[in-house]
Amino acid sequence: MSVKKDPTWKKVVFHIILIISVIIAVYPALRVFGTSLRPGDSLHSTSLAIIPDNATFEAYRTLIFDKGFLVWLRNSLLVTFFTVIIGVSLASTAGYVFSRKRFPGRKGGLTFFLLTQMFPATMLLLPMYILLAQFGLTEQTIVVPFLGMAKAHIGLIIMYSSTALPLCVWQMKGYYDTIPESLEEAALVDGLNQFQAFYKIILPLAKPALVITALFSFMTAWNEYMVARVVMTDNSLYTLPVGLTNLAGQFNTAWAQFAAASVLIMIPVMAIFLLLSRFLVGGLTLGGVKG
Amino acid sequence: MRKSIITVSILVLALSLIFSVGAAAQQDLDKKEITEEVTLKLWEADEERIDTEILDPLIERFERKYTNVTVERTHAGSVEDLRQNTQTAYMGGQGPDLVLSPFDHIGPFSIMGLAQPLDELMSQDMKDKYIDAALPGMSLHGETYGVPVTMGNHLMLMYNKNIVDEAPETWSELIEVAKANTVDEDGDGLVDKYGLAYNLNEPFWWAAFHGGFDGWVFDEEYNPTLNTEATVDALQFVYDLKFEHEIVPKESDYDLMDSLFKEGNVAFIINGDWSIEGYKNAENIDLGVAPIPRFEKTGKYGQPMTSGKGFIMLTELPEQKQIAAIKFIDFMTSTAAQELYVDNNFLPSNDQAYGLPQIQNDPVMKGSAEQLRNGKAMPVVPEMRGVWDAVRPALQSVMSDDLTPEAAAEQMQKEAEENIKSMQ
Amino acid sequence: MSQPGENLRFTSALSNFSLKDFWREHKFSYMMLLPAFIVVLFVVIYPFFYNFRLAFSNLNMYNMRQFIQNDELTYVGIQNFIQIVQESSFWIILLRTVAWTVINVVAHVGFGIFYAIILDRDIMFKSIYRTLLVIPWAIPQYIVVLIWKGMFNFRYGAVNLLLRKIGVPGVAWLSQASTGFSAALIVNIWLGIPFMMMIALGGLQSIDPNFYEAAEIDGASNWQQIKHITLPLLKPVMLPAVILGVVWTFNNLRVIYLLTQNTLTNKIDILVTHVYRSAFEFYRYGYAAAFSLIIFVILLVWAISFIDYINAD
Repeated sequence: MSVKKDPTWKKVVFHIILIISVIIAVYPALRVFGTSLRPGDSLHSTSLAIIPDNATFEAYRTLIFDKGFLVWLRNSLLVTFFTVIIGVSLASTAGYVFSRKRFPGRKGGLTFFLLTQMFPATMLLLPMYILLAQFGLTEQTIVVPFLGMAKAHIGLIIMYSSTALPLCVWQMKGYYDTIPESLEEAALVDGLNQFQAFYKIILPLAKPALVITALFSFMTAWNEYMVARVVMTDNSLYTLPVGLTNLAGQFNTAWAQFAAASVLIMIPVMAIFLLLSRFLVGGLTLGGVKG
Repeated sequence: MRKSIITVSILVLALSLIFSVGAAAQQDLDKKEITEEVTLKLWEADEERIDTEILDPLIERFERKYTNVTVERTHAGSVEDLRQNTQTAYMGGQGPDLVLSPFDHIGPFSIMGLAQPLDELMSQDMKDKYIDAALPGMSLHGETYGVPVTMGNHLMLMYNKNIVDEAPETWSELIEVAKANTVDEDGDGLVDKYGLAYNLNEPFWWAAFHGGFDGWVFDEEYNPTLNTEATVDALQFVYDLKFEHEIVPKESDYDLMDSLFKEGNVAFIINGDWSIEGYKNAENIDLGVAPIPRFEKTGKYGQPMTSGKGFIMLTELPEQKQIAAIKFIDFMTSTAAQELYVDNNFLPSNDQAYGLPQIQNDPVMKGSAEQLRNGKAMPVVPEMRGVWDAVRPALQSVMSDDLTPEAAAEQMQKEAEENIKSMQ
Repeated sequence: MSQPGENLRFTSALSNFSLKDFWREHKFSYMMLLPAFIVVLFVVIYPFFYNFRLAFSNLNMYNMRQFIQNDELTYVGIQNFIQIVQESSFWIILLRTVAWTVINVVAHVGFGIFYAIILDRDIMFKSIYRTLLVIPWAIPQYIVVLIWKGMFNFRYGAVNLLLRKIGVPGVAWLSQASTGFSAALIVNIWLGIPFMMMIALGGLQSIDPNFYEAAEIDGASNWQQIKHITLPLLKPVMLPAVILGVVWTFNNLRVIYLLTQNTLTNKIDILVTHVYRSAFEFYRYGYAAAFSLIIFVILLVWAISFIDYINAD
């Protein structure tokens, strides 16, 4: 909820700050875009111009029509979609009891979720791979034909969910903490059971936190490539970041295509962000409901 | 008389028996037949263009010839990824059957028991078709662990004929020409065109100078030998290129020098055979290739470290897979297959392929082959890593004027010894 | 005579513990928690113990063959740990890592909240600003770090060009450890602000606007409102993000590794890049596992005491 209107001079100051910030935030990304238009695969340019001379969309064309870009996109969407679903649903329930209930193991449980993030991830890669291999989750065989989902995708989904969950759980707990308990008490008096009170009353109020959680799970799965790189060996099962690293060689990298792929990877993120951020502001918040 | 004939024939028989027993360990898999359906998993770290223009067509031809073999090619990311992922997957019991890798991975792969010794699996005929330097390049402590496909990976002097007509013979000539071509065109006090560009802070590039001053990183027992006069000379030389002659860009990493050369803003560049194809096709470049010039002090040409790429077979493969793998390697190093590599400016491992007109008549390829002869094979022992990591920071310090060449040489030696000790 | 209910409650924890009652009381909590717990535990527990085992061994390249083929390890007790704390470089790197983490997280959280507060106000084009400001988070890190590396180039980089425009001589960023570290900080701060901004934006939605109205009536200034209402009420939402932000920054391999690759190499290493180099460049698996365990313990101790400190506050 926005506070009172600011005086004009203040708004001008805010706009100036924001415009400068946007330039800083966007400029490197624009350079990536510029690289994607450059013929001849140079990563750098001595000119500061964003749009290079003889700019070409060739890299995008090759990427989309000659490489497996669309297949990779589908695989990424698949893996990301399930990661988000698992991340949001499991975190919203776990976060809820951490916020509301007092039970043996509560503090230990909260700490447990944190600790999983503390061990340097690079050292976990090898044993994680061995673990997945033990369960056959590195196999490239398709198990859900109409989705094109392979066993290895399931492995990735589990991996990503568990990576995203700790923050999601804590985030949900933190947000639930700000919602007054009196709301559920009233609901229980009205004859709802505990789960209904959670599901019908509290969850809708926690929309901003659900959005953050979803966004975070999305980003975790969308950009990860360390694990996927080892697990995925079949070109038609690659996720986008793995496909992206395919374009990099020892010395010569297809920089234009690499940059083009980076730009294309970013677009769905921005779309999701625009879509979800409607729920982040105004109208649907706690204040709105109460007022 | 008759008796002696019988004696001789018995002797011959006995001898041939002894020899055939001796050769029993020799499996000659390239001469055996593949009797089952086999899938070979091949992991590589080549650039995209090579994957699609060389590997895929060759794999297709191979599969047509051997219909019961399927080769699954997987790009494993960078060269580092290839090593780590192969190791990880191997430990998880999955992994590739064949790896197409730079020679340096022979070190760790053979020591960790990932790489299959190949001496007994290949017939003498197969071994004989390679140039002399090939198989030893992928050998360690007397065992062959891989078969090279391409040789080289070596640095050379390249120049843009739009800017300079010919390559100089000595460094002092090069410096003179380079100075004339290092100019500030728009007068803003910043140089726009450079005489020379190379990867200033990268030990692999520095090694070509080091070798030119008669230095080498190891003694025979693989102990580092870095605190030498040659090291100091080579460091002083690269320092002077930057600070005294001022012919190189002040901070120049691989991507920057590459971009500058492609834009036509550099007269000379020191780069490797992998970059030739891109430069041939760049519109601002008319490419010339020559050996790295001679150093007046030693009379020696620049001596780049040479290496190459080849196949490593993983251990514990069933026999049918081993046969298929050897056949595949044999196929990929046949003259016909190697021609495709030559067409893409790589020097082959197959001896006969050097007779191809593409090498004999093309000045660029000839220059590259000439430079290869001035090179020296990079050691494949894993200790090499300890040397690189000792050279790099000291070299960087010299190039940012923080350390004298003498102190840097001392520091390199000390750190190299520490690094190597820490690995044991 | 005592009340039966009271009696039950009093003794249940001791002698008369009833699993049935316990289950009835906490069933809801455990059932809600279980799925998340299982997923995380499945993935984490084996890798953790795997490394725990390695940390007490001398596993390196030369005895790797034994380990791969027969699962044999030579245990050396706490020798790895002793070696690590005796290295003078360990303490320098630790100090650098702490500085790296503190500067980054303070900047992430500070700027993140700052932008969130501005963007939560009634301002034109705010959805456009919000979308554009989130780009550093959205773009794949690998390429953007390399682009930044190019922007820090002495001669051609955008950063020096800007400096020269305002009359400051260019800096050879990636030639010196100190400027290289600053460059890494700039890149990582740039990368991390959008995440904290989003968390803070979410948190701001939980604040009841009635608080501000009341404060307005009391004549509190904007700054006072932020200090006494916004920031304290953001705390529960920001806390987990701050804790995890610290953990992630502490263990952030990519930015420093990519930025210093072939430039400064190990001169501005933090703990986790040192671990990476030890394990994957020098094959010192036992040593690297022990090092990781030390990192783990440092973070664990910090997190627990930080949470206690916040809760006591």
